[in-house]
Amino acid sequence: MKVAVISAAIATALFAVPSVAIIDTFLWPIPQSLSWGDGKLNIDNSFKFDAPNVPELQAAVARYKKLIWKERWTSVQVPFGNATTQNHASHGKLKSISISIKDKKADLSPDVDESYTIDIPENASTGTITAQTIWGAMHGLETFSQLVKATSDSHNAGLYVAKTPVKIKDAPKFPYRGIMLDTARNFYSVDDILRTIDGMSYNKMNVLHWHITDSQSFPLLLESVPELGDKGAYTLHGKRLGYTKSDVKRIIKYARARGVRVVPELDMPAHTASWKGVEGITTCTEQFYLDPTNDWGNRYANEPTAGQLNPINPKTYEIVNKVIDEVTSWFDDEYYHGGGDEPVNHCWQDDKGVSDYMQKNNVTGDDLLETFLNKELATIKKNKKTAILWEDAVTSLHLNIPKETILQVWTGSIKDAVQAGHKVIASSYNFFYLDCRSGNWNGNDTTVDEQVPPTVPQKLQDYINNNYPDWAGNLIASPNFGGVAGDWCAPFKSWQRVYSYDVTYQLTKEEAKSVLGGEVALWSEQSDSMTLDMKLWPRAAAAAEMLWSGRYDSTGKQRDIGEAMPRMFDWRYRLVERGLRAEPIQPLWCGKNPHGCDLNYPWVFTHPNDGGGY
Amino acid sequence: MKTFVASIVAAVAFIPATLAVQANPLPIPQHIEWGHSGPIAIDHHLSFHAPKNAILSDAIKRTTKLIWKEKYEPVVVQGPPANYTPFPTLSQSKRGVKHTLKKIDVVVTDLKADLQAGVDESYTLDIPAGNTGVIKAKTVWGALHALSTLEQLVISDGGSGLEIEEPVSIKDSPKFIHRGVMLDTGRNFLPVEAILRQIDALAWAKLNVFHWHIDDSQSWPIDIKAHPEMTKDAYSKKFTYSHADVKKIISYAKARGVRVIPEIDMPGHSSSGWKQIDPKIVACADSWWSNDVWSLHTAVEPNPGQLDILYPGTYKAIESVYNELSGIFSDDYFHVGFDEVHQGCYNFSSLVRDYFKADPSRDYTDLGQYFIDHALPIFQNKKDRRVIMWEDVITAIGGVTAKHVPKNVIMQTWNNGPNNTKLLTSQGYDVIVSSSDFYYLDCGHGGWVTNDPRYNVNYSPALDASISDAFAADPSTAYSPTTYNYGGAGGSWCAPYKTWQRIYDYDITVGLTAAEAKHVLGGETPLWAEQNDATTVDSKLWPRAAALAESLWSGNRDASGKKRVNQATFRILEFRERLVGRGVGAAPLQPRYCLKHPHACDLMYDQNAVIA
Repeated sequence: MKVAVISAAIATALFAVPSVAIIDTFLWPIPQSLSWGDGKLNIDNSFKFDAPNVPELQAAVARYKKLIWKERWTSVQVPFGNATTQNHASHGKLKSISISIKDKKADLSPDVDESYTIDIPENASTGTITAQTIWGAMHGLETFSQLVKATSDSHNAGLYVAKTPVKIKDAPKFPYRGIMLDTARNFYSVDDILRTIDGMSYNKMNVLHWHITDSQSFPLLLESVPELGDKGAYTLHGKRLGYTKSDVKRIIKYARARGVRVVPELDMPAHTASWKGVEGITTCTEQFYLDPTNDWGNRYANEPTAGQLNPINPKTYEIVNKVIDEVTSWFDDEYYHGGGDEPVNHCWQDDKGVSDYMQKNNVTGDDLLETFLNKELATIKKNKKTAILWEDAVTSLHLNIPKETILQVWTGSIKDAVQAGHKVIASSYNFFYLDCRSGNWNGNDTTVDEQVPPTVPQKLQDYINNNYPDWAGNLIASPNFGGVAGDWCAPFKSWQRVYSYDVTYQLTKEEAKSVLGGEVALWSEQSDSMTLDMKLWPRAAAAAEMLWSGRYDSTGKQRDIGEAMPRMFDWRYRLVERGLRAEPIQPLWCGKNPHGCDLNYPWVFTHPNDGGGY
Repeated sequence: MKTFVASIVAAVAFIPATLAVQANPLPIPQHIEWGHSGPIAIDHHLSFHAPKNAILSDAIKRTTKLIWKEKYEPVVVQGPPANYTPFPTLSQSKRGVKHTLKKIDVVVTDLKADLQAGVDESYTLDIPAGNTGVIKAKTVWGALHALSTLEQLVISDGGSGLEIEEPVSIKDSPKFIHRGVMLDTGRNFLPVEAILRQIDALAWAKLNVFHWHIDDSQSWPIDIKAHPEMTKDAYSKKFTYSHADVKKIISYAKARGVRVIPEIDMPGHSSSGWKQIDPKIVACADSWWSNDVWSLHTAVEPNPGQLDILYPGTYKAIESVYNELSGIFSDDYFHVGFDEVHQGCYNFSSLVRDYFKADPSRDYTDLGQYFIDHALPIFQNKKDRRVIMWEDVITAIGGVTAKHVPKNVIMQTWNNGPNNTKLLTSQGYDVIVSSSDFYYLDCGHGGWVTNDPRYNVNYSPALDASISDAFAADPSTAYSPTTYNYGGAGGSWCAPYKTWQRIYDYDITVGLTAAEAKHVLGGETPLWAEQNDATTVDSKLWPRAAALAESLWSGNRDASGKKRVNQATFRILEFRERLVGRGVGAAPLQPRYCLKHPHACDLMYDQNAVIA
């Protein structure tokens, strides 16, 4: 049942023929440069990695050795058509991979070199991974693990590398490739977070942006201001849902071991009702987010529940400073996210002290915000961190914010942020918000009680019919019929949509340098442990390839979604095998019938010999 | 980050006082009356005195085990919005326990009544201030519902014991006899355990039908002994259901009061499996589905394939497959599909081409009728058999329909909301409502067909000024111009996503006469599986199917006739927590904050906003 697919004149997309030959080994993200042969090199039972004695690297080597033997991967995706050629088995066996590192000391910093090469010979017993740093070598190990497959023949149950010799030269397009996880709207266990880090390392993603607190809860159990977590963390069946210092340390250590940085965010001054543990530092605390008029202009917050830090109370800054001092001491990354999104002046005006102050000093809410953020940024700087802020203060309010502050762009334009002199992390909600489409989550939602579609006014219908015949059935929508159903950022961002995000779109070469990368965001109003994996995976993987391999390949050609499709299909099943409950993107039939589920007639069907389309 | 809410002016009004207890079973019983004399402890040796009946004694064992294992502590705080007088909660000042429930007498009038459509499911449940409770039901199936209610009345006493907070008296029965969930195991496979887990949850929500859309054109996952070759088109050897698996599912469901209705979708959505018997059975199996040239499309989604209506071998195959399955599935109902039969597919059949050539007066309704005339006698080969078809056989526009379909065929409607329900019931058909505008759980999830160039748009396309002006000129319209990726459907044909409130608010008999309404057997919420398998099934079904469950069991309105979605919020939030505790990965509906702060997360301050 049912795709009434829009038949509007859509030009058939022809895919280009990229340089990579057809292969039944599917890599994700695709390396920058890759060449295959047609050999098949078995892996010896005594196979080992010879790696320099760096503890993190030794741990990674042990992990991947275990993984390849446990995973024993056989591809789910079937290769296309007659482009498959039989591999000829090599006589030799791969006995080891020798890993060499130039700079064994390089730390996992924002600008660390993550490049690597892999060389698997056709016959010889030793392959190599070279890298500038151990972090690059870890990516090499990941790629190597994806090259390894198991024979489906149970009598000869070995592992092999197909299409030898394999030569790979790889490096990320963007240094910042992240996932934002909101643990405040709903809670995630430490295990959930660790599993997410596993998934990130499989996809060569390197930043976990941890949106720890929000208005609904304050799950961080700080030692300097314990009352914040005491009063602000959720409890469930008598158990406090919070993260202790040792939880945080464990997460950071686990992430580092996998080449993933952890950047904390304690959003402020808005999104802070949960700071109620300290008396008097918040305004409009836990007010219903609308006032009785239900007028959006009079709202206290963009969603339940309201509450902002009081910008004129010295106590506020005392607490903020303590909090930032402690959090920055727990998290060792160079970056620290200071929040700053969605401030609502009405929440401050609601407080008599603040509104009197505003009147007396003739300042606006925006002025107060500017003061607050600059004080916050100073504290972050004092702690030797580079600050990230949500873009709002700069791109929509045009406040005076130091240029060294990195802006995370979610609603405005990247170009504006770059031209304002900032480095940028791209998180457009139109592409990268993974929570969109679940419908409005507020209760008492009157708008959904609509039994039949509203009538289209005759005049309007006539106009559309006469002037825009293609629009008639498809491109006009009412909220419950084809529309967004109260979901502010609908539609759902399918993996193809995520993949399509060009984070340097229409930037000059110079401007593009200011884009550090991007980050998919999972806001958790409608997500917790039960849904985490399926909301993140495999869509975050689509972002991972776009940020690692780039929207454009080395020849400057835009990467083709048709080429990515079979790799993505196989990768989803591989993620499931590796313990992530990634959601299916298609019927399994589609993987067994290459291109059978394409939207438009596959070009490869009429050009079967042109490299299979790859 | 987010929420742009339309500003709607509404008056603030008081809501009626709610229950002073925390237990809040879903679906809420038709009549429930709590006493005031204080909690009743559950004796550690609580016994049930029930008539001898295997299903009943199994169910009682399950209930006993569940309540002690679950030791449920309610999570959701109920009450009026925060600005009103604080709601009294009992947990703070617990009154002394006066009574201990030691025994529940279970009285069943008719132990033999089989689990079939329309069986009496009513029950009463009385837990008086004393040590003996009573469950009375006409049938075992009603008694099972009483037990599932009991399971949701019992909560932790705060220590190691259990209690029911107040004496309680319940009289309950369903509004609709058919309350179901449809799972599709053709697009992606579901392991047996995943199906059994859904059946557990169905029973907890008093849903009584598992509609099993077994195969589709993409795969044939069920063993057919007469044609073992059919499972060559299963996705893999592991992805098949043996006869033993099927029997296990049926008996597991029956033990929980859930009927299993199989569907083999014919003649559309048919390729896998059938083509292994004889390739000539299937028309257009090797065609491109042709979205790009829509006038030639052979299917609405990949992959195409329809049974060739004019090929005699088709009916031989149907007969052997149907008879074998009909022998395993014990329900009187059998769903034979007739969903989305496309004319374009039959252009690939020389038999059909010749048929039209031979007599130019023939059209596709003659072809559809040929199928009905030849296949229906095969399907209706049993005394109590009721055949179900998708409404397409009558209502499809531009598809293959039939001229005369006997009125004893049940129609499952999914198009055009209440309008098609009316159309079909007014013609005298019994109807199962599955409107895609309300009940399709797969909607709003983007497109799944690949190589889709429409996503590759980096800035919101500017609307032609004249079209914006046309919309602006008519501010009364609820419509707005949308684009594919910006506020539009994003590739989902039935967008938006159906929230639980949307499902709950559907009045499946709206606009019908009393006589027409009698033809509405109930409803089903389908989960089509193009983007669903074992990794996602729990969270796509639950807790949204529970919204359907209450709406079809006790209705979506209170005694005064007002929509009660705002009270159901407490129940569904609590039910979701119970589901998770019981092992079903139901999705969260709101930040946990909302569970602790009654109405704080409402969209509208006005508690009477949803009434119509």
